[in-house]
Amino acid sequence: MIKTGIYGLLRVLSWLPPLPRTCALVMVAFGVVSGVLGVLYALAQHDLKRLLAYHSVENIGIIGMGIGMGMLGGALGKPALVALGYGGALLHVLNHALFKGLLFLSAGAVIQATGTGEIDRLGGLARKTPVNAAFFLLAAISICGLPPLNGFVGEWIVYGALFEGTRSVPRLSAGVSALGVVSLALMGGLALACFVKVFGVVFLGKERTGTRVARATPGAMRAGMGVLAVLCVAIGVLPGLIVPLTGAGVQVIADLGPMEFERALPSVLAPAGRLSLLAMVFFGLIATLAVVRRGLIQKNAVALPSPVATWGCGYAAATPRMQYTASSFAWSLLSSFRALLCPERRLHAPAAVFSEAAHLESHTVDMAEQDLFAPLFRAASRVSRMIQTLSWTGEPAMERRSARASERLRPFVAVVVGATAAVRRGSIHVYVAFIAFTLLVVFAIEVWVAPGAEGHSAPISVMQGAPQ
Amino acid sequence: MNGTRPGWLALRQGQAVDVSSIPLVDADDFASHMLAGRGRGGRLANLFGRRLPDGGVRLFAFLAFDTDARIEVCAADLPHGKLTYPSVTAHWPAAQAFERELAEQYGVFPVGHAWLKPLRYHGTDDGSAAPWGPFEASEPIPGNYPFYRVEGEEVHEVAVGPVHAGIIEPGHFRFQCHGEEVLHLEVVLGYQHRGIERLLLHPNATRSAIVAETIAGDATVGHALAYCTALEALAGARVSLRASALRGIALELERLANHVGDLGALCTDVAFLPASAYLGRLRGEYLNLTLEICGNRFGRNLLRPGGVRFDISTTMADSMRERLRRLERETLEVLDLMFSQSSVLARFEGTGKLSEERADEIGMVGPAARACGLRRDVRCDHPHGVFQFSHIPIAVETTGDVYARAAVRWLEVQRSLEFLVELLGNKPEGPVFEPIGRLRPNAMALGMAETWRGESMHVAFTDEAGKLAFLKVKDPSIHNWFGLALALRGVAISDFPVCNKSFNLSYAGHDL
Amino acid sequence: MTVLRAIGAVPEAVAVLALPPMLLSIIAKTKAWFGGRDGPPWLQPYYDLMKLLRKGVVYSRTTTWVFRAGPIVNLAALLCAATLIPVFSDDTLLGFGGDVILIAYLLALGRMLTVLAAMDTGSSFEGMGASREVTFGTMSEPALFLSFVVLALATKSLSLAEMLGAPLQAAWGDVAPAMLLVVAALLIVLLTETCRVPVDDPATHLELTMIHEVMVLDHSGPDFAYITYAAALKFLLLGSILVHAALPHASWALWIDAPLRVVELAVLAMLVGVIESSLARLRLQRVSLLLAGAFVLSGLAAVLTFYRTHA
Repeated sequence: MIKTGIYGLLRVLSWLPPLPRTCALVMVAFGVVSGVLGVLYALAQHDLKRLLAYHSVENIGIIGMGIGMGMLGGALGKPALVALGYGGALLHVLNHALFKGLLFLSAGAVIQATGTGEIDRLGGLARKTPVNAAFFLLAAISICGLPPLNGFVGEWIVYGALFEGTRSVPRLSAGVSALGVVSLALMGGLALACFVKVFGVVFLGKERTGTRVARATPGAMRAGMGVLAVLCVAIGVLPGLIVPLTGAGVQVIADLGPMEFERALPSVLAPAGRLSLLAMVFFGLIATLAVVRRGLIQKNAVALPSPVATWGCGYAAATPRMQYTASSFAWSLLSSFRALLCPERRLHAPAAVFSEAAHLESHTVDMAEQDLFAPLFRAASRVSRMIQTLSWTGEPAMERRSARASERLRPFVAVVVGATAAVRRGSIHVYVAFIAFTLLVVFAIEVWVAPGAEGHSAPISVMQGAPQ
Repeated sequence: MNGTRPGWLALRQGQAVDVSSIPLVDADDFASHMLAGRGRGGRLANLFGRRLPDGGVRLFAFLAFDTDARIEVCAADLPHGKLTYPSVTAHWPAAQAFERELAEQYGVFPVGHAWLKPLRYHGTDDGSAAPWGPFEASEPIPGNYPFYRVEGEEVHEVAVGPVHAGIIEPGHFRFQCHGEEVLHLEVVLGYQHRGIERLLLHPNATRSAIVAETIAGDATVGHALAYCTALEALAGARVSLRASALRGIALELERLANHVGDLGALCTDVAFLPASAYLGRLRGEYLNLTLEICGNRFGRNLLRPGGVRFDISTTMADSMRERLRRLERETLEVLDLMFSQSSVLARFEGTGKLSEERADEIGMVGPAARACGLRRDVRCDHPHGVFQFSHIPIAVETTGDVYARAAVRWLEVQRSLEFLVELLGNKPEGPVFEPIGRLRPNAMALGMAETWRGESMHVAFTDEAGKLAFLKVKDPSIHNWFGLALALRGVAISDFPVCNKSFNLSYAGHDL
Repeated sequence: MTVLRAIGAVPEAVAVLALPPMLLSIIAKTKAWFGGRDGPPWLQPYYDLMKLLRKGVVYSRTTTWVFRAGPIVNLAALLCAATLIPVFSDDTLLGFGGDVILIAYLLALGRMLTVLAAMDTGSSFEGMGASREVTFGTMSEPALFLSFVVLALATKSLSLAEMLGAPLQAAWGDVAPAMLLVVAALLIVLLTETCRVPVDDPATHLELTMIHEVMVLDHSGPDFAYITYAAALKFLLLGSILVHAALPHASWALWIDAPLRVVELAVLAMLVGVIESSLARLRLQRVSLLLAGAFVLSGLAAVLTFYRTHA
C-alpha cells in the first residue's frame, strides 16, 4: 500500500527533468527523519502489528534516502550516484515487499495461534511453532539489513550511494550524505534492537500468559511464507542476478543508458556477485563450525538425569515474570532518545517504608500523530463542518468570514478534506484515487511549466494530446 | 539514673539486674508505651520474646538512649491462647524485623504489622501456626513466600540468589524492575539459620563461647566481646584493664581488616583495579596481626568470659606497632588514591541514597547509619572496657550514599589505626585471664559491642539455679537489611552490587 | 592463480587465527602488573579454550535451536569478517569495494544471534545483558560509520584494505588532526564492542553489572569455547582496524609487516590493560554519553576532512 506512494514518486521523477539539488537534499532529509523516527517508534510499540507498521515507515525512509541520492546524482550529473541511489531504492522496494510480507504473515500466524498481538503477553512460541519462528527470524535478519539476506544487498547499495555522495562537491550535499550514512547505521542498529526484542520476547524464553494455548501454523500459510523466504535468501545469496534487473528500472527513472549503469556501479562498489562469494564462505564456515561442534559434543556427551533449567542462582521456584519484558528491553534505548520521542511512563512507584500497591505502564505518543495529524484532522473536520454549514445563515461572523474564504478555495479544500478523511478512515480506494489525482495535477503542472526544459523526450511524447 | 520513667527499668551495658525488677506493662499498651519511649529520644535496640512455662510469651523491649549511655527495658506478657498485641511496627518501622521474628518463633500476631512475612523461614518452637499459616518444610525456600509485586505487564523481576556468583553467603534478592531501574527490592533470608541461640545454652561455658564466635564469622571478636560482657556481668566479674585493652586491640584489628577489605571490594565492584588489589593484600596484613596474637586470623579463641587467652609481650607489641605504622602509611596512601580518583567517586556519589529520617525510622546502626548522619557508635554511646578510658571519635557523613558509607569506613580506618598505635604503646599491666565465678540466679544482663558492622547485643538470662537459661543475640544486620532494600529504590540495577557491598551485611548474623 | 594465492595465505591465516587469545593474555598480564600480581600464565587463554572444547554441554530445557545456533553464527560471521580486514599486511583475502559495510553488518549479525541466544534462555540476567548489548551496540554504530566516512573520504575508497593502506598515510600528512580524532573514536568503539573497562568489566563475577559475560551465562563446553574465541577474535579484528588507522603504511614484505603489526597489536593490548587498571567503570547510564562522545569525535573528524577534501 505504502509502496504506491513510492511508485508514484518514482514515476513522477521519471517524467521530470533532474530536479535542483535542494529537492534531492530535502528528499534525503525526509528519508532520514522518516527512517529514524519510524524505527524509534517501532521500538516503542507494544503491539506486534503496530510495530511492523512503524517499520514500514522506517523502510520508506531508507527508500527515500536512496531516491534522494539518485536525485542528487541527477542534479550533479553523476551517473554513479544516480545508478546507486535509484538502484538501491528500487531493490529495497522489492526486498521490503518480500521480508515485510513474510513478517506480516508470520505475525498473523502468531496472532492466529494465540489470539493476541501484545508482545509482553507472548513468549516461548519457538517451541510451539518452530517453523513460523524460523520464518520470522529469517525475515527479521533481512529487515535489519544483515547479510547474507536480501535486506543487506539493498542497504549495501544505498550505503554505496551515500558514501559516494559524501564525495560530491558542494559541502552541503556531502554533509547531508554523511548524515545519511550515520542515520542508516543508526537505523540498522535500532532495527536490530527492535527485532531482537520482538523475536526474543515473542518466540524465545518461557511462555507468558498469552501463549498457553498456541496452535500450530496452517500448512497453506507456511507454504506462502516459504516462497517469500526462499526469495529473501535467493536475492541475498545471488544478488548478481537481481541487481542488473534494477538497472532496467533505473534506466526508466533516470535517463541512464544500460551501459552507463553497468559502468557506474563498479566505480563505487564491487559487482554484487562478490557478495555471493562471501555468502558461500559464510555458509561454509557455519557448516564447518557446526560439524566440529557436533563432533565435540558427541565425544564428550553429558548424561543428565533430567532436563535442566536455565541458571537462576539456585532459586527453585522461577516464574515467567523473571525474564526481560519487551518494554524493559527497549527502555534504555528509548530513554537515550527521549529528546526525539518522549517516551512516557505512568509509574505509581512504591514510596512508603512498607510498599503499598504499585503499578507501571509506559507508552510513547506518536508526535506525528499527536502534534501534526491530530491538529490537522481537527482543523480539517472544522473546515468540513464549515463547508457543510455553508448554506446556513445564522453563522457567527468569524466563521462566516472563513466560510467565504473557503468558498473560493472550495474545490481545493474538498480535495484536502476528502484525502485526509480517506487516510483517516483508511479506505484504500479513495486513497489510491487521490494519489492518481495528485499525479495528474503534478503531471499537468509539469506539462505547462516544462516545455522550455530539456532532456525528457519520452514522457512528453506520451502527452502529445495534452492541451498546450 | 536520671530521667527514668515509670514502666521502664534503666540499666547500662555490662550490668546485671533481677528479672523480677523489669516492669511489666499491659500487652495492649505495649505499643503506645514504646512509642512514648521513642518520643523521649529512645532508639529501638532490641525486641524479643521468651516462651513462658505456661505457653505464653513474654516480650522484652530495649530502648537505647545513646546520649546518656542508658538502656531502658520493659516487658509485657502475652497469655497462652491469645498471642496477639497491637503492633509497634505500625507506627515505628524499626520494629518490623523483631516483630516478624516474634511471629515466626512463637506464633505471636502483631496486629497491624504492614509487612508480616517470614523472616528466616522456619517453623515456630512448638509447631503452632504463624500468622501467615503453617510452615511447609517441603516447599523450596522461599518458593511460596508472599513476594511483593509491582503490577504491570511491562515490569520484569530479577531473582538473584540464593547461590551467588561470588564467595558470599546465601540469600535471595527479588527485584521489581523496568529497564535498568529497580522499582523495588525485597530481601529474603533464612538460608543460614542454625539455631545459634539454642546452641549457646550449651552447659559447657567454653563451648558456648566458641559458638558465640561463629554468629558472624567476620565479626568474631565483636560478638565474642558482647557475649563475654553479658556473662561477666551476670557473674559480677571485672576483667582486668590489660585484658580489656587486648580485647579493644582485637576489636579494632577486626574493624580494620573488614573496613579495608570492604573498601577494596567496593573498588573491585567498580573495576578500579589497583586499589582493589592493594587493599585486598592489606586486609590480609591486618588479619595476620590478629593471627599473631591468638593463632587465628579471625580472632577465634581469643576472648573468653573472664579475660583473654593470649597476652601480648612488650617486644611483640613493639613489633606490632612498627608494622601498624608501616601499614598505616600504605593503607592511607592507597585510600588517598582511591578517594581522589574521579571515576571511582563518580560511581559512589549519589548511588543508593538513604535519608537521615529514613535511616532513623527503620533503626539503622553502624557505619551505614553514620553515613546517613546518625551519631550512633557503641564505643562512644555505651562505652565499656577499654573504651571507657580511651575514646574514639564518631565518624559521621551526611549524604547517605555509597560514597558516605565508604568515607565513614575511611575515617574509621584512620581512627582505629591511631587508637591501636597508642594503645599498643601504653598497655596497662595485670593478669589477662581470671575465671569468672557462678552466675547470679534469676538475673538478666546485657552486653553490647560496636562490631565493624554496628551494634551487636547479647542479652543473657539465668534461671533460679544460676544457669544460663536464655540468650538472645542481635546482630547489627537485622536492623540494616531493610535499609539496603530501601536504598535501592529507583537505583539502576547495575549499581546494586556496589550498594550491597557498601552495606556489607551479614547473612549468618541475620539468620542466626 | 587464485588457488596459489589462497595457499600462500594459509600461514598468514593460521597466524591471524592463533593470535587473539594471546592479546587477551597481554591485557591480563598488564592488569596483573598494575595490581602487583604475577597474573595467569601466558598461555592461559589457550588452556581455557582447550579445556572448554573437551567439555560436555548442558542445555537448559527452555532453550531452542536459536541458543545452539548463536555461538556458531557469531563465530562464522567474525571469521568471515576476518577475510575482509587487514591484520598483518595491507592485503586481505577476499576484500572488495564496499566491504566496510559488510564488515560492520557481519559484526551486527554476530551480535544479533548472540543476543537472541541469550534471550532464548528466558533468564532475566541474560535479558539484561542482551538489552545492554543492543543498546550500546546501536549507539556505537553511528560513530563507527562516521569514522568509515572519514576514512573513505581521505582515501577515496570503500574497501577497508585500501582505506587503511597507503592512501591513508597520505591523509595523515594532510589532515592529521582528523585522523587523530578518528583513532580516538575507534578506540572507544573498540572498548565498547569488546566489552572492556570503562564500558564493561570482563573480570567481574556480578551478573547484575555485566554486559557480555552475563549474556553467555548459560553456554558451556564447545559452545562457550566458540564464544570466548569469537570475543578474542573481535578484539583482534577491531584492534587491527585501529592499529592500521593509527599507523598506516604501504605493504612491506610480510616478514617485516607481520612482526611489526603483532608488536603494534601487543602495544594496543597493553594500552587497554593500562586503561583498565587506571579507570573505574562508568555507570551504565553514562556509557551512552561516552559513545556520544565517540560520535562527536568522529563528527569533528568528518568536518575537518570535508573542509580539506572539498576545498
